[in-house]
This record gives sequence, C-alpha cells and structure tokens, in this order.
Amino acid sequence: MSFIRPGDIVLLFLLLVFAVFSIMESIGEVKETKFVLIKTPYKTYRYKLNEDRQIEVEGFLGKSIIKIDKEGARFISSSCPNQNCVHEGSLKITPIVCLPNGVSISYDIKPKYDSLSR
Amino acid sequence: MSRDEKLKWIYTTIFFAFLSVLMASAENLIPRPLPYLRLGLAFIPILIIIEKISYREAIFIIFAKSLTLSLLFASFLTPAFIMGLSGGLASVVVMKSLSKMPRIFSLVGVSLAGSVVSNCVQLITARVLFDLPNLLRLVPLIVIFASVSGIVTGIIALFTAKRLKETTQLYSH
Repeated sequence: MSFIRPGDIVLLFLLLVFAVFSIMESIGEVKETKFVLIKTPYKTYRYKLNEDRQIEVEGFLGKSIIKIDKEGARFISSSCPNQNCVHEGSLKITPIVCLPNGVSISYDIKPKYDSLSR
Repeated sequence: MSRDEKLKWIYTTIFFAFLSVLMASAENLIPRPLPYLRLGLAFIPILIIIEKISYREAIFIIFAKSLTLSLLFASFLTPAFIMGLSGGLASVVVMKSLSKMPRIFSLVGVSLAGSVVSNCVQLITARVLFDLPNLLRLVPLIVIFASVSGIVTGIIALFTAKRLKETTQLYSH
C-alpha cells in the first residue's frame, strides 16, 4: 500500500459533502422551531421557547432543573455525578442528553411527512 | 503453510490483539471531553496487520480486545462494552473489505472508513440501548470528528506499517 490513493480522497470528499449538507439542513430546521421537548424516564414535556420559565423534572437519580429564556434552554443543575449536561450550556442544534439521570432536552421538530407517516 | 508457520501466525495474531489492548488502555489515560469520543489508537495495530489477516482473525482480535478491556476496566456487559464491541465488529469487517483493494484505498482510507463506520454504529447502538431523542442530527458532527480521528490514526498506522515492512519478516509470507 502506498501513501494516498484516489479512493481515500473520494471517500473523504463524499463524507465532507454529506456532513456539510446535513448540518445546513439541521440549522434550517432548528430556526423554524418554537418548541422545546424535555424527556425524562417517566414523562415527556413540551414547552414554548419564547416564554421564560424554570422547570424541575425528576430523573433516575433525582432532580434536574432546566431553565428556558432568551439564551435558550439549558440545564441549571442536575443530580448526575459528572455534570456534563450543565457544562454543555444552552441548547444548540444537537440535543443535550444527561445519560446518568436519563433527562434530555431537544428542539421539537415536526417530521416532514407528518400526515403520511401516522 | 507448515505447522510451525501456522503456530507462529497464531502467536502473531494474539500479539496484535494484545498490542490493541495496550493502545486502548494507554488511550484511556488521555482525558477527553466526552466519554465516547476517542482517537481510536487501539485500531493502529489492527490496521497494520489488516492486510495479512482473514475476516475470522480480524473478528477474533476485536473480540479479544473488547473482552480484555472490559475486564480490565470493569465494564463487562455495560452499554460502553456493547457499543465498543458492535462498533469494532462493524468497522473491522468494513476495513478488511476495503483493504482488499490496495490500488484504490491506502491505509488512510481504510482507517477513515473504519472510524466513520465504528462511530455511526456506536450511535445506533446507543439509540437502541437507551431511550434517546432522535440523534440523527448528531451524525454529521460525528462524521467530521470520526474523519479527523480516522485520518490521524491511518497516517500513524501507515508509517508504522512502512517501517515494519522494511525491518521485519511480518509481511513476508
């Protein structure tokens, strides 16, 4: 095997094109959404993004406090050991998942083919 | 292949499985931002030998590596173990298939494909194991990260393999 082969470059190019296009599509979808979805092991909540509020939800380990305001939705405190979800800051394109506590925040994006798929 | 050569080859396979465990353990010492983001140093020994081993031996190396690692770090049968094993199996099959076309793919391409496949399969496994929200939007980010780590791993493996070819009998039979 020698250093770089044509297949390598083609593969990398295809992957990058795929990544860039799907990121652009997700950004477009997120801009249109107005709701936040909070999932816990026991319940699923749906809140409006433009109303300020603070929500306490119950996870596997205990309470998680989530704040929604102008800066977006974010974990303020959580009963998980590593606190990754709190350090992650406010919700961007990808969901914030707190695995130890089983709580996640994501944008509520409606599927494109809603009436067909149900 | 004579009996002695066969035996020598079995030892070589086991040795490379051990090297893989060693690299993975060393990688665990490096702090990382998220528990499942890894550089994939454990795949360097596998990449070096992938040209020479069969599918069966490649799968054996992955099983041996995952099992040993999980026993070492007490993660046997935990989600991390299942994710690592499924990702490893999928990627090793893809890597072996691509390495059969040395005119089209170099070790860098093989490593790139393996890394992307491994990460995506781990994501799917995580989705099955936990009740997660739709993680599809994570895929592009993971593809970018996996491409970078795959290329780094591939370049290291390529240079190591080149040096080994010059100095050892590993590639002679």
